[in-house]
Amino acid sequence: MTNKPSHPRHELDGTIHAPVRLSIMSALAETDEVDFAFLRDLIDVSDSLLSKHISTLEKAGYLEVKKGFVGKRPNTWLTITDEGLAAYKQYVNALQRIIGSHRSKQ
Amino acid sequence: MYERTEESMGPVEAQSIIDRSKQKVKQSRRWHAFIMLAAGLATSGFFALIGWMPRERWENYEIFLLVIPILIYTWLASIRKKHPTTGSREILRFEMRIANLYTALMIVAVAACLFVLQQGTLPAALIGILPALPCLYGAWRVLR
Repeated sequence: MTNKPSHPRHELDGTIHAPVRLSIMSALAETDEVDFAFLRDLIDVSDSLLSKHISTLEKAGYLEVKKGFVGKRPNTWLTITDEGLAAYKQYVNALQRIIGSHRSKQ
Repeated sequence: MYERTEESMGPVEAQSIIDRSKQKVKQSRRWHAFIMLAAGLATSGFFALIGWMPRERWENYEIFLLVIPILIYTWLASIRKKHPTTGSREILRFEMRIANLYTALMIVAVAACLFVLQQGTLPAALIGILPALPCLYGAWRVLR
C-alpha cells in the first residue's frame, strides 16, 4: 500500500496512547503542575512504574520534571510542555474523530 | 494496584481515562475551594453569632464557644487530609497567602470586637465578614 493512511487511528501518538501515560498527560493538561504523589494515587500504580512512564514522556519532550523540597521532604513536580500540550490536543482530536466515526456507523 | 503498561486500549477506554483524570484534578481544585469557602462562611457565622448577642448572654459559656472554631478547624483539616491536592506549588503558595491574610484580618476583627465595637450591635455582627473576604476570594479564584 502506497497511499497515505487516512484513518484517524494513525494520528494517535504512540507515546501518549498507553493507559498510564494517557492518565499522566490528561491530568497535566488540566492544571499547571501536579506532584508525583497525586499522580500515583490518581492512576493507582507503583512508584517505579510511574517513574518509567514519566521518563518516557520526558524523553519525548512532553513533560518537564522538577525536583525540590516541601519542608525537609523531597518532592517531584511535573509540568506539561508546550510540545506535550500540542501533542495531547492532537491526540484528543484524533480520538474524538474515531469515537465520532464509530458512533455514526452504529 | 494498576500495573498495566503498554497493552492496546480502545477509543472508549482512552476517553474514559481522560475523563477520569480530568475529573480527579477538578475535584481536587473543588476541595481547595470548598475548604476556603467553608472557612469564610464559618468565620462570618461565628462572628455574627457572638457579635449580635449581647455579651452577658454568652460570657458564662465563653469556654464552650471557643471550642466551636477549634472543631470547625479540625473538621476542615481532616477534609483536606482525606482529599489530597494536586500538589501544585502555585496553588499552595496562593493558599498560604490567603491563610496569612485571613489570620491578620482575624486578629483585626477580634481586636475590634474586644476594644472598639459594642457587642449586640450590627457592626459587631458584621465584622466577621472582614476575615472571611480573603477566603471567599480564594474559593472564587481556585474555581475560576
